[in-house]
Amino acid sequence: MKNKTISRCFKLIKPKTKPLIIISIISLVITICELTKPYLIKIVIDDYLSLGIYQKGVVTIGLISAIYIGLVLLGNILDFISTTATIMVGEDVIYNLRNKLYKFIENANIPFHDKTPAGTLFVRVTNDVEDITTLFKEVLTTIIKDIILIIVLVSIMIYLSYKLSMLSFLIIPFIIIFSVFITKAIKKGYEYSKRIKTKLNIFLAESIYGMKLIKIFGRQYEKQKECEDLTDKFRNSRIGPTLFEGLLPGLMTILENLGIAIVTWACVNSWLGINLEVGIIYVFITYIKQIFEPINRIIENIETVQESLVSIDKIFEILEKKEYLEDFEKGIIIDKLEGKIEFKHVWFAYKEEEWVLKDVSFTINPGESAALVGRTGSGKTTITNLINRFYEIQKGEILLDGINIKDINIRSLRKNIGIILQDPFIFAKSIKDNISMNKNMLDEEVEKTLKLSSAEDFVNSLPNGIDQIADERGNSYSAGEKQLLAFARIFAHNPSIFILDEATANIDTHTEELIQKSVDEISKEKTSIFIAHRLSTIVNVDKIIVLSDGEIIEQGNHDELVNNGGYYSSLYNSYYESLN
Amino acid sequence: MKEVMLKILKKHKKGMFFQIVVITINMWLLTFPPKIIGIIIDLLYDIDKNKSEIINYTYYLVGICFILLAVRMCWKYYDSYNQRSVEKELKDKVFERVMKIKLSKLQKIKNGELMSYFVKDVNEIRRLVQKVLSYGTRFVTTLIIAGITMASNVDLKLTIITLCPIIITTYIVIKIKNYVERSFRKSQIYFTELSEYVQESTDSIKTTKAYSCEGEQLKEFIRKNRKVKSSNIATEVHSSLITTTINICFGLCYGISILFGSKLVLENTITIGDFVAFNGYIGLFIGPVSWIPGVISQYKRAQISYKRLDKIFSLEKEKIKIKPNEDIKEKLYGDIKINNLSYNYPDCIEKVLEDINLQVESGETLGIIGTIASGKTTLMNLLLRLYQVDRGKIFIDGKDINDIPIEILRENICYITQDNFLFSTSLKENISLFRDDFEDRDIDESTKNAMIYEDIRKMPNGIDTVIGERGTDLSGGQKQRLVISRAFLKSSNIIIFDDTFSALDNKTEEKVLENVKSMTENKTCIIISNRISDIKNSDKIIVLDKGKIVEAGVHDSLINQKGLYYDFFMQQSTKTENSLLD
Repeated sequence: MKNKTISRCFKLIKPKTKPLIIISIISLVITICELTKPYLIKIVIDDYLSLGIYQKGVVTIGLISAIYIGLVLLGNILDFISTTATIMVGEDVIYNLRNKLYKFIENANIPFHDKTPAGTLFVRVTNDVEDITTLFKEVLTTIIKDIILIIVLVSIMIYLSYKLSMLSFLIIPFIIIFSVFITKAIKKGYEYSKRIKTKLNIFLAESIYGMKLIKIFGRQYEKQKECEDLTDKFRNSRIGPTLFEGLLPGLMTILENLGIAIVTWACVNSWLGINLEVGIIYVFITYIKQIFEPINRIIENIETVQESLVSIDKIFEILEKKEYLEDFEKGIIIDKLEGKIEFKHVWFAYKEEEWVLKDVSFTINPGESAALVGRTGSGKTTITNLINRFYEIQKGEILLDGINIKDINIRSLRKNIGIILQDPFIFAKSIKDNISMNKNMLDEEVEKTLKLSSAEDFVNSLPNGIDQIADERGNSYSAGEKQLLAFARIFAHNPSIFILDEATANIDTHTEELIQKSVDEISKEKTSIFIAHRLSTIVNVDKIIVLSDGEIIEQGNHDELVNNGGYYSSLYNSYYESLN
Repeated sequence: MKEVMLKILKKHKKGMFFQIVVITINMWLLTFPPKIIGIIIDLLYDIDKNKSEIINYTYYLVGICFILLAVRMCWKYYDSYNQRSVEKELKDKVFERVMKIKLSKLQKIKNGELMSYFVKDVNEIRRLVQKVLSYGTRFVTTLIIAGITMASNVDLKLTIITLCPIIITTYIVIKIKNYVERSFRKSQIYFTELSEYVQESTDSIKTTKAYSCEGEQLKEFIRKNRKVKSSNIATEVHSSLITTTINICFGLCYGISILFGSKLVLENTITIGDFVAFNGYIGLFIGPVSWIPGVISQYKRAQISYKRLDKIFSLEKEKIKIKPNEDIKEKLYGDIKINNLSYNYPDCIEKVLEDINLQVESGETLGIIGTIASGKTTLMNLLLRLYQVDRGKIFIDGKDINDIPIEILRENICYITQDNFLFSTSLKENISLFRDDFEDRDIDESTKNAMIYEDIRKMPNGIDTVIGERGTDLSGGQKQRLVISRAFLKSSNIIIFDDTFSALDNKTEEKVLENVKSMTENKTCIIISNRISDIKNSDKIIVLDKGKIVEAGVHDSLINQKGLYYDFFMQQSTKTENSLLD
């Protein structure tokens, strides 16, 4: 185990040191209760039953029974309390860790999200944190108790008779060897079985997915055979590890009784001069039985601890990448921008030195509209991602209203920029929440934005209107409808700069007309940038910026560029010709 | 479902019987060690006199444990074999059934839902079988055997008094278990909600940032996380309450046995050894008592799963005989005739197809073109009887297709669908679709015809390359050609291509079409496409719009009509240029 891992664990548990100490103390009391019980029976056997008396002084067997029951109650109630406390500590640690992790993910910048697949983050927040929960739930609740139990048990046994203890401890190495060996074998068996199970499940999932194909080609016979073959393999793969699982307790019973036999032999033959009361022998026998459980449990849990430690490392590796966090506090807060955009010799690369934008300069005045034109990969989308500082540029500067965007507070910068992505994201929330995006809005205001974005008819046709909850990722809505909702979002937030990445997806003509209406409405007053796919959009803008391989090759309005006889004019002409 | 279940249980009744016998023997053997220890304790009071006897008993003690181990292994073997057999056979049966269910019914169930029948519901039933057989038997035999041993070896009254708390506790524990189940289900729901939320958050990060909603997203997350936390705590605390209750119960039993047992010792009714043995017997009950609530809650879970599976078995199925394809010898010639066919999906009033009249003879090629959702694919689905068609509507070789057994019909029609779904196995199996009676030569030939041979040859393991393994991802065009090669392999007399050329470039497409033409010279071929180029050389072309045949003829006559077909033609000749802007 690396030092780093230890310090990470410590960091995790540190705030809970006090409760953990209290839990340990309670565990000690529980253990003492637990171990006094057989001793009470020893007293009954040696001091009362052997002598044939019921009462010795004031102490009767009845009183001892009462004490016994008292200890049972005390021990178990304390046990319940300490378990509950441990659970709460564990869940609290997990709760805080999960919040921290999620906060990191939300506040991390886009380059971080580009580098870390969403699936990985998902697994970190759910499964990996859950692994750590197991650490607390299964391990911490028992491990403190078990360790204390073993220590106290061994001490008492040595105190009672160190010679007999030494003899009985002879079986402990065997317990450990058997446990470790068999646990490993079980693990191996299950790993194999798990692989087959995965195969079977993939087979089932694919068959379900391709059921129509199976029906069309009449391959039911082959598929049925394959299914039976896999289920058979899976059944057989399970029997091995189950047998090993059964073997372990069986071997432990043998060792346990062997221990009892050793104790008996020692007493009978007076080995090492051992000569004890029958009651003590009883106590020994009971203690030997008790020592098995905690040892086994600790060995079983080693695996869980290792897995949890791996998960802890994975989570902290994310949390420690502080350089990816965005700073929301810094910078000038600007309520409302005019909307002037200037790029001055901007150089940008996602990866070092692989320039995506090379020395890009242009100006868009407040209220003007501009279209970015160029082939896929020419840097159109990149430009829009730089304006709202999803990425930081390496050279040059970007100015809004003459202020370098690096000096503007990120939140207020983004509030001033409204962007519609090709495939707008719709949350699994109500239409209203999807539009307001956590801004306080009255129903009437929401409806007004729907009217402005021409989404009114579509929303009204939903059974619950603006309170309709969307399916996961808005799957219940078509691409066009999602676009309309995204436009409503823009109207609701009224930014100074509007960026639209035109959808290439199939949108029916009616919806397309509605979208066009919204575009016209918005771009009337705002500085607008379009990543355009339709010529109709491009022709009408104030400025066309033609990009090729990250460089601006031409800029100007439509007429200028057509007369220019450059790339854009050839593009336009070939299109124009194809129409005739 | 009931018959299926009974059949499976009946098949394994022998194994289950052995399991019960072995568990009973195991239980009986378990009563020996406490008894022997008791005897040893008694003998220890006079070591010198009983020395050899004591030693013999210790051998006896260890020996019994070895026998116990052997019996235990037998039990575990039967336990595992029986439950896994039930699982295996139930899975097989459900799978068989799913393959037989009518497509129209099957498509109403989500794929994830179908999958959960296999991974969840079958397992719940398996667990019930396992728990009833192992734990149930264990509980009953413990009560009987340990009870009788205690009463006969020690004392009846003592047995009754001590066992009282155990019975009461079993009841209490079952009640608590109900709470645990409930809060467990709740925490599962909350956890799923949290997971979905995280998924949404990571997917929507750009939108969230653009609107600066990070703080609100976090607040919502914390709210959901808190729910997970508190429901987890509830589940855990309830479960630990079960342990506490059981421990207190057995503590009480021991306490009672100390008091009453020692009185019996003092009265000389039992020996000290019996007294010690009695405590040992009590320990035998701990396991079974803590398992029994699990059996009951499992019964409830399995009940729900049983009902769900029952639903699958009650869905209407196709009349189909499952047998190897090579055993289907009947051949169809390939004349298709459709008479006044109208169709609406079950539970829908709207007609998908209306008044379709059509005749294609063997050796002819039919081209179908139409707008989105004009009923092209539905028509094919009916031809293959994937959906139910009325009598007197569709005839093949003059026979009503309802009179042709489904397996024969489908063996004689090769329908290549538009979704190019591939299984994650080798390319070869994806082409042959798991039939192993094709010659390698034929498979190679079919890939050559589909213009994918060269692509396959360049792959690391050729035709045996496994899809999806180590980044072997095929492009859309490659996938489509792979799927097309299935048509060249299957020697059916009716061959249908449903929009299967869309991802091919012009040159490849041309060659594939040429090969299709020469293959189908003496066969019936139907090509459905939105591209004029795919169908313009067909012997007959029909144009579908909203379920109706609006135009029919050959390419030249349709162009001259200046109708929908002409519009398609015009659109497509300009469209190629339009994409320049990207």
